[in-house]
Amino acid sequence: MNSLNSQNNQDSNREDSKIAKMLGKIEPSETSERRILRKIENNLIRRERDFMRANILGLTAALASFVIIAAGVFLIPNMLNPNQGGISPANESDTTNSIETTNSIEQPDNGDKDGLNTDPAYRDIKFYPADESDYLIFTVENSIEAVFDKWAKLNNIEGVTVIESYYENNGVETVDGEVILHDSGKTTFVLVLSSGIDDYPDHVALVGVSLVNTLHDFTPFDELRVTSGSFSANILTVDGMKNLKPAIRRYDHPVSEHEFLPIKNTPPIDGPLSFDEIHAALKLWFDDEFIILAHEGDTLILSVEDNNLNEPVPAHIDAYLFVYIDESVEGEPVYYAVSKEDGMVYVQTENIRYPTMWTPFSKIMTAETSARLPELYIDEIHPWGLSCVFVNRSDMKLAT
Amino acid sequence: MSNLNSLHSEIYTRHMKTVFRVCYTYMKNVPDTEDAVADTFVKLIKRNPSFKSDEHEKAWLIRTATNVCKDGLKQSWRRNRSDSENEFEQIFASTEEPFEAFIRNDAVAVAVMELPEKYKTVIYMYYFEGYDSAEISKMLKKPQSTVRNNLLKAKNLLRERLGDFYE
Repeated sequence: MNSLNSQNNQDSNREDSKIAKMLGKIEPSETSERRILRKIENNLIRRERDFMRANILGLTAALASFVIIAAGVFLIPNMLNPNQGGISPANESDTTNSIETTNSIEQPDNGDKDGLNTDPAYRDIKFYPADESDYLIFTVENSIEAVFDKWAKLNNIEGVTVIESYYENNGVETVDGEVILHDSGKTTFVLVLSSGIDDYPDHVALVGVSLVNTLHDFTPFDELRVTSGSFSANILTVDGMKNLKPAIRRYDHPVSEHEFLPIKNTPPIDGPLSFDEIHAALKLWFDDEFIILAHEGDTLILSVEDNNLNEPVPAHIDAYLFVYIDESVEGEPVYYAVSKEDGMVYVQTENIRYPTMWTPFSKIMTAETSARLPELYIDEIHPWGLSCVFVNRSDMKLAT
Repeated sequence: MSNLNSLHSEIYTRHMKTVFRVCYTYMKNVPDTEDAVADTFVKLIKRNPSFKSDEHEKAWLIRTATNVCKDGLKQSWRRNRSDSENEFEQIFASTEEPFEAFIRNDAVAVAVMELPEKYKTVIYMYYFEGYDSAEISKMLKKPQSTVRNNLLKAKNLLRERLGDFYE
């Protein structure tokens, strides 16, 4: 009861606080409300107009196609018949020449827009930054299709076709575009891409893969902060695609910055994950730190990136996990570090931004538990506790 | 509200002020706040999500408004508005909203406005809406530990800036 009273007092203090009073004063005037409504209406009218324009263009294109096909069906056979004034064999060379001329037309420039060609996986992705409007035009062409195809093959999904790609600034932070694919079995996937994030304007990140059936609900990605460029690069390289092994999730499950994206399992996570369920790596973002965890089989693959952690991480540390343990220390983050060299886990609970003092985990855990590393993680880490994982672009390797 | 159906009109009426407050803490001026509020409701209309409760509805709007503001600040779309829109705003924005003078001269307001972006929504929800960290966590779909941590850091910052004036 005491605690209830204390809570009530706290709440009442909160309502009476200067902050609450100050916030209460922020109110739109009637004029302001009118302006907001007018903006909404203008926006809706503009959308309607754009929609109609798109429909008209679509109809025009369909009509033009029909005319061309009709011309092909009815006119070309007549033209090819010399008896009816068509092309005689002597004229065929003209046709060939004409085709050659067409082929000699310069191919579209798939050049290095925005530095994307620094990574082979990005070649031929055209990328137009949104300097002038809320929209980016994001096109995915042959080579990226090939990358997705490779990704699909790695995951035994056959016949992947890019059927649609677009970008819309829909207010979902950092999510820039989607590539909708389907395989030969007509299962449709949506790859959610992001670009131009913070200090990594020249990278594209694949931040999610989803079934398309709940595409309209974009909410789960609203908190999705995109990872560093290094993460992006890994994900979009063909080898990196392996890490996504079907990272298929349902849209109706929220993704928060502290949540695993399971690679193998489609159902939402609603409890502690077993280690076998964690097949890679996840985006995560917290206070500018990134960590990535990946594993295959029983082997942990972890890597460290010195991302805004200005202090050097001990050389033998290959990775660390940034963890909250809710019950023990409120809001107090803990780093776990993993060394591939000696198989040790190190722990650091203080000075989290600059972890320079690491204690080997084995010294605080029994030898038996440290030997059972995977289970140890699951047992020790609250399912919501693992804040983030990240991987170094060059160091990311899969276990063999 | 001619283009808004009755459902959207009701939602607009219920939560416009909430959305306005959240947006103002990010945008810090009325014209940009109005843009952000409008964008938030346009997204609501466009996506037409179904809500389980009033709280769910409010949580969706607060999250979306937060994202709209962050996106807006990041993409500096404010600078790219068309001339006609700027003209439109100039006509109407010539007079300051009554609350703005207060906000500018109030130490608490200045301290809150200057908080890092990531703390603003939780501070708003905690102090003004009266939610506790568990509720905020649920509404924002963030781990409770993050919410608690953000609240703690925000309070420390406010305490640091305001001294005894804080609470």
